[in-house]
Amino acid sequence: MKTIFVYFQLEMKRMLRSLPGIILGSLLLILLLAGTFWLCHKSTQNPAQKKHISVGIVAREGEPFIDWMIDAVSQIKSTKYTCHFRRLAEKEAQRQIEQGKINVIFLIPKDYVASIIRGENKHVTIRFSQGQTTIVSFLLRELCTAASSFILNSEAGIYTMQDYYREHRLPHASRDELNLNIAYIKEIAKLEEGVKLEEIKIPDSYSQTSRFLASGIVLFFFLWGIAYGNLLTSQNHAFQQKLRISSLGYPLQVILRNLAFFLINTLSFAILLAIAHILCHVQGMPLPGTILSQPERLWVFGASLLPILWMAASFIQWVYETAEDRFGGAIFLFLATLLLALLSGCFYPLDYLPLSIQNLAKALPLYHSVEYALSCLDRSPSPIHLVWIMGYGSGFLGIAMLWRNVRMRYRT
Amino acid sequence: MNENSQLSLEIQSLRKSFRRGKKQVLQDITLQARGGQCIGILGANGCGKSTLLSILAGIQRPDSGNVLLNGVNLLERKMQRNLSSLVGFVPQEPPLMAELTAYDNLKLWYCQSPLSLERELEEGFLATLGIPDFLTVSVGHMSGGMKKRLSIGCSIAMSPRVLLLDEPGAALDLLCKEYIETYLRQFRSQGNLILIATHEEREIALCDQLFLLKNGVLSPLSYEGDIHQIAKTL
Repeated sequence: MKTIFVYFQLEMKRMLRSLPGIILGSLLLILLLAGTFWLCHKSTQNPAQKKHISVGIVAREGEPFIDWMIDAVSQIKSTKYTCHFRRLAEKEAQRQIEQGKINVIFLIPKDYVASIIRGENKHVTIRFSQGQTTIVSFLLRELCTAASSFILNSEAGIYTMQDYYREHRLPHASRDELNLNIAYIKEIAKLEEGVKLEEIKIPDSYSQTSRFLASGIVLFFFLWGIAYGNLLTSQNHAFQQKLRISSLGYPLQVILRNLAFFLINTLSFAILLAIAHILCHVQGMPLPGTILSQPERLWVFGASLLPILWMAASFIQWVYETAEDRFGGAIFLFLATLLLALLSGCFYPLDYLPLSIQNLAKALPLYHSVEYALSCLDRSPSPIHLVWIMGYGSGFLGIAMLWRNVRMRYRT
Repeated sequence: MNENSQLSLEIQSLRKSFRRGKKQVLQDITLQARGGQCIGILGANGCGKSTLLSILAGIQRPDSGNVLLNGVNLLERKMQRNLSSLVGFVPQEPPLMAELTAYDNLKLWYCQSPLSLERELEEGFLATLGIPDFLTVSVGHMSGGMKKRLSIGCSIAMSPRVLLLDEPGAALDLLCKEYIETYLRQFRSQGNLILIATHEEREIALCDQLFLLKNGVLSPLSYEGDIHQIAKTL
């Protein structure tokens, strides 16, 4: 028992000695990953690329002016978006927005145009999923523009009214015209109040920034292992054999090293979180509306990521147990992580990949790590992804133990 | 096992092969030795000396045979846990943690030792080996001689009666060899047993009995001070 404790102490000691170098290496890796994801983000914001928006219109059949309004909005040229409108029944529209087939729904109440003319204040409801707020801003602006166009046409109607009053010598032409103008102005002024916004939560719907942050953190945990090659490659065989005959078998040696590695990783992560905390106080929090909206919550978020950290530690340890030398291990770790990241949708949406690979992705450790990190950002850690992560961590550690045992017994 | 009793080691018909029997490394190895002796095992590179010592240290399992220490079979499973307190093994490759100091490495092996580490460093075998001179040096910065002396110091932590050394003097300077030789003489004079696989003339001269391991067979060898005579027989 004492040997176990002393061996664990010494493993911690040798890893602690390398801590300053690991922190420096980590900061460089963070810069590299942040730069990569910033470039990804910029490329998706390219003004030369128009974003396609699919809008569902839910309105009563025969509702006047709806087709005219759609035409009016469609004619507005935007350098950023191209809009496609579809008239749908409400249930169908709800189903499609949940499946991500349309971005926004406009729910037009019955007799909406007539209600404006009568001076009633019925609401147009715009329903959108999380992450679509920029689209909604755009559509509200276009809606106002369309409404202005509507007013201009209505003005034409007013002038027609004047001709009509003059021809038929009707009284109160000025008063009626004034009342009508006032009514229209009131409606335009209340337009934004005449629109009700409903945000619905759709599973797996996160903003691009959240996705990039979660992917960056997970990739960092995995690629961090490149700095640990010296510490994780197997110790000399004579040492391992002597430990075994001192009642510290090969699997136990692997477990103790894993524990020491995980604790050192946690300490390094805490130091990096402290640096992030200071930066967030200075620069402001990066993601309002998530757990990172307050600096203190950064630590809660960090603590919730520890299962991913442990799984990554187990994966890294397995890689170095297999490779047996630090350079081979570092190269294998880099390539394996890159491949996993490409297949798991870390750099682009999973939808871009063929369906068969999408199905494969949902069995990969990086996919579950990113989804779990996103759920932590959303303040509701996903137990399903957590189970996958713990399963993978145990699996990698188990394989590392088995590999060491088989390799050493084969040698003897 | 009574530490004060006369020590006796008996190897009975030990066999070991590799590659599923295709390469027979040890064939019916038989040897008898007593406490207070130093037994030398000579042989060409790759003849099986290290394999024999590994089996005696409990690192490898033989295909068949027995190893009796004062009548107790060391190869039985129940003896494996206590083996390090009976048999100390110094392999060719120093079994040390490279990133740590000599003191840290000694701490690992002495944590369950009946001996006091501090006392051994002051006046015990560790002092004889000259280890206090480089106690705070990291293993990665040590010379070969320092590592070998430290290896010996670690292997005697459990105060074994039998010490197995695999080419302890290889590539060492004269001062280191002097340290090791002095220590081995002291160890032997206390009634303990040494088995040493060696090519070094000074270590051969230290031995009371010599054996030659050739083609898997262990046979006695006479030494009359002429190392060249031995070389011809390898």
